[in-house]
Amino acid sequence: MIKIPIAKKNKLFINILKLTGYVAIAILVLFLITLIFNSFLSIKTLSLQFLFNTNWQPNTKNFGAAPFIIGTLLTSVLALMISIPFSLSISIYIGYFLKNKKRKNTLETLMDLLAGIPSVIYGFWGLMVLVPVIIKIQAWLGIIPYGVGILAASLILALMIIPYSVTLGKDIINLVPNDLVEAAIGLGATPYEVIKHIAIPYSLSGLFAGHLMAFGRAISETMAVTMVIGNRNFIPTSIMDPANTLASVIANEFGEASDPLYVSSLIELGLILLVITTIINIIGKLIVKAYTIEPR
Amino acid sequence: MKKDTILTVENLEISVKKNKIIKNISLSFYKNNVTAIMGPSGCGKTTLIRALNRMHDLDKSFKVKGSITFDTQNLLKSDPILVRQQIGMVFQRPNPFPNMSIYENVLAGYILNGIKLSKDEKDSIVDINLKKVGLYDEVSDNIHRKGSHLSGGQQQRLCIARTLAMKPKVLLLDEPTSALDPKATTRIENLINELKKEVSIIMVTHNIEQASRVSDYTAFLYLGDLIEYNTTETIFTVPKDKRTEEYLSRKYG
Ligand SMILES: Nc1ncnc2c1ncn2[C@@H]1O[C@H](COP(=O)(O)OP(=O)(O)OP(=O)(O)O)[C@@H](O)[C@H]1O
Ligand SMILES: [Mg+2]
Repeated sequence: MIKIPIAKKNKLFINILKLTGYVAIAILVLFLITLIFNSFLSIKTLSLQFLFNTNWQPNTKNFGAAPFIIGTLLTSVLALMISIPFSLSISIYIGYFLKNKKRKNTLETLMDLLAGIPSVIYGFWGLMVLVPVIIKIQAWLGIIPYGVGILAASLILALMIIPYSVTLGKDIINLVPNDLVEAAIGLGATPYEVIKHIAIPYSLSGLFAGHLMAFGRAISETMAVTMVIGNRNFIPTSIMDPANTLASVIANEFGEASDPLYVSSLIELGLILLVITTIINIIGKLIVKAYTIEPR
Repeated sequence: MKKDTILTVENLEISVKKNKIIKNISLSFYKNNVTAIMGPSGCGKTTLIRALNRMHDLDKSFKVKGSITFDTQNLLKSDPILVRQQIGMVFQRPNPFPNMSIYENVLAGYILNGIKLSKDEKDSIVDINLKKVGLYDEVSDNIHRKGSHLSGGQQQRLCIARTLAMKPKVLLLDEPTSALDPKATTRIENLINELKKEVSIIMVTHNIEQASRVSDYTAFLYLGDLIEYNTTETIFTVPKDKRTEEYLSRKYG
């Protein structure tokens, strides 16, 4: 057996780690190149107009990404807003108040289970339970009872991303040092005041990161959204309207697209999706950096 | 000499599950005095002083029996929030709030309790209390910077200022200098001597010299029992119990 000196072993180990890092970067770059390459026809033919064109009419070869960019941002922002009160309360409850180990474990496992449910199941549930309820409400309000649409998609998305925010959020809240909590309690603070003035400010950047991850997931979620959003290629005028997101229109139309420009436009939509998620990630990193409390 | 009492502990018994940590202790703490609580590690010193401002409420496994009289009321039956505002606590490890500036840290008790103050009131509370702990000149240039930039000793004095700002009647200190260097320790000891003019101080300490330097009374705990309680002078010169004597001659730590 050949004996490798420890220093060399370490070096080898570090180099392997480095290599895997580079491979990850290389894969990402390859992804980008493939997308750019395959959407080249669309980029060349439709130019920047593609981003602002509000029409998507494959039969007349009129392709615009605006309805889907708006649909994507609308559903995911709405989903995030709906989810925050819940994810924040659940994170605080599990991370701060729940002392009973057994109950804590149960709830954490439940959250993991929810996060692991395949999105097609969420889609089914949305179609079978949520959409009929929305139809009733819409009928009662006297508007066209589509059922499917932005609202249904946002609600399903909210439900899907809550476990994601919670998974990180509860750990972040749990990390609030106990001596800070005790110091606050010792000054006569109530649990609510401790949460408001100590725990949340302390964990702000972490909570933000968790919700940003969830937001990123909402933006790129495909299956469940495709099932309940109604797949209509117009700019939605209200949250009750059927619409499409970047991801859902690709999933919905890629199989039947045959015209080269059509295929290329769909791939460019994918490129836009990738760029949006990347930008959001970068913004998130910057904000997290700005808000991070220096360790004592 | 006759002294006014500030806190009277009667038949205090504290247990976790079936385990008795404080066993039927009775003693009175005196106004404007410094009382040192001493004893070997694990004898229940922290457990005793945490009972004095209801910190055991945080952990449901702690059961507290008996009575602690403060202002004619049994504080074990009063509103814990009010108790904690009048009986302040400073912890072993300096723990300024890292999300607040030095200025806000001094005001933390008010901020946390949602008490609205005018700018002038705030300024004067901060000035007075930073001066009390001797931090005013050291930090006056960067009072709006985070308190976590300060040295350990300065942080601990900031924590004392934060507690004093609530104008407590009693100040509980749990080994306030055990995380500090000798110079910072001396500063805090001098500060304790100053502060007893306005507040009654109960201090846990492992440091025998420190107890002899700053305290007027000393209580010696051993395995949850109060073995001896007397003026520090008496305890240090003519201890009645053999265990006290052995502890003071450092037979066990
Ligand atoms: N949360 C807890 N659960 C169970 N037992 C505890 C708990 N906290 C303390 N104890 C026990 O109570 C006893 C007294 O602890 P305490 O912290 O009051 O001692 P102490 O005198 O302050 O010690 P030290 O000088 O090391 O700080 C110890 O035997 C300890 O094991
Ligand atoms: Mg202790």
